[in-house]
Amino acid sequence: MNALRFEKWALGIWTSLISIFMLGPLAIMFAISLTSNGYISLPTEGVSLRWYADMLRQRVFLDAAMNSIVLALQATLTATVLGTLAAIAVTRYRFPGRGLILLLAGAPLFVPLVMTGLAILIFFSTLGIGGPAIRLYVAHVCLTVPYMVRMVAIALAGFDWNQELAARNLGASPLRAFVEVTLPQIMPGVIAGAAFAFIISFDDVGVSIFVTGAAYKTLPVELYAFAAFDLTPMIAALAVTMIVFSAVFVLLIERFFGVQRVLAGEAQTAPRRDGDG
Amino acid sequence: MSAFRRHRAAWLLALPLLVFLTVLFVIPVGQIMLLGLFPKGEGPTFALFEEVLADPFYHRVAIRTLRIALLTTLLSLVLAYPVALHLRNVGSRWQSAIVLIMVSPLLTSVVVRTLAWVVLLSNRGILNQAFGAIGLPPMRMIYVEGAVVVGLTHVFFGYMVVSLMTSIRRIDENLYAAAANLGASRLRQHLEITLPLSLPGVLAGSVLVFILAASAYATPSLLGGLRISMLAVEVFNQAITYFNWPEAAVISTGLFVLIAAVVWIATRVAEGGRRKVIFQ
Repeated sequence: MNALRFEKWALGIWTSLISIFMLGPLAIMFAISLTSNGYISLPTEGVSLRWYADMLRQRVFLDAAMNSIVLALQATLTATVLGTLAAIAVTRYRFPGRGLILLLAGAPLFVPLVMTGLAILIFFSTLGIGGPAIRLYVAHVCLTVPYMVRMVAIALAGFDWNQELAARNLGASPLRAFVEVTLPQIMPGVIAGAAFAFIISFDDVGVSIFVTGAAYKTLPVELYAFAAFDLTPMIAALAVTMIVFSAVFVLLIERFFGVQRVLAGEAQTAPRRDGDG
Repeated sequence: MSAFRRHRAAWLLALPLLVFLTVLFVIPVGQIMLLGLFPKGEGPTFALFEEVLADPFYHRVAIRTLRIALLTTLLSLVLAYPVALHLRNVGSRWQSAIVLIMVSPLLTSVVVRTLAWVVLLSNRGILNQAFGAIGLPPMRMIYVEGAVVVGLTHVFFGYMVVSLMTSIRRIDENLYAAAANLGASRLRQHLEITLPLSLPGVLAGSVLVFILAASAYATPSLLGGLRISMLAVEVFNQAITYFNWPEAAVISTGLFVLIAAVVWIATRVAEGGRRKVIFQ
């Protein structure tokens, strides 16, 4: 029995150490954002919010943040509609071509992000249509729609379609039966999927960096460009703000769906989130 | 009724996604795969592929990409396995909390999490400031392969934990009791029960982390700098810095094939192993 107790202790200590490894860098980022010094350092000379104030004065970042939010909303909305419809098709019906649709819906996850970015850049440039806004939009829908399909499909897995039939029998139109019977029950999956899609779109660099233009940049791309040359505590403040922003959505997913379920479902069926690392 | 009419509802529901992804994803990706074969609008020719394959610079980058991706996979596996075991011992509240911690880097932007490492590791960064304070000489910790491996492990760790956890959780607790009754030591129980039964999770997690690490762009370019380039970074350099789209297309196709090959081999080996276990 002693070996068992030792094992439990050792595993607990190991997990604590790993937790420090996971959270440490983000915690240090937070500490740096509060420094009163003029350079990257821990707040040894006192705590100040000057870098947050400084951040709010940076037009470049505010514009980029606005672009990112608008883009993420557009991409998420599109992915939600396309993904939910397709997920209903593949869970409710058995039909020739179902496998093809499942394969297609997962395909963007198997292709390296840089390849997707490059492909969309070259495709639109060769045709000579669309500015960075439309290219980013297309790229982000491709990036997010696989998660949407998967999460709605998971949510639908336990759904009894006879309920919808019952509503139809009682005289409801197909649309009304869907909106009043099916939709409320799969809503947690849809909300969690949309929140996940929003984070992926809002945080992406790997694909976006290929299709942004000088006139239309997203926040992570702007931050990336800045970070490579000019690292200041203001960048840390911005990074912390982005973490808090994402955290809101993560809590939304955890509340409605469970982060574990999202990632576990993913691990089994197909690889990859914002895979560019 | 014709086949289409019978399945009209399903097709109509899936049609928007089908059209969107075919036109705006499959065709563009197909196009860049072809671009390498028709670099100047004529061909098909493998000239560009041969050029890239013969270039010692790309050999180094490709081998480094494989090495970094493998090291990241191994490091995540070794670090994550005990965490996944620990998750079995705790209640569901703790379990959710620990999983959230493990996936937290995954759910923050790649720039943010990589920046945190830049701040820690750079030449005048926090760690070197700390070394200076206790009288140690500064160390070079950024723009080396180790920095890239650590940064990638940090990011993709959550996938490994969750993959391992899902298969470890399925192991029947009674197996351990039975083994203990038969006199097996705890170590032997792990070697003969936990390890073989968790292999599907090990494979799933490893394949996932490998794919992600091999195609990583932002982490290697921020933590590896110009010296430690990886294939995805070279795709960007060729396409955006040098404006050489055909070469970028060839490299990205190469990256895709390389990843697919490694994943294929890993799955084959795993299948072979499973067959051996069943038929022995």
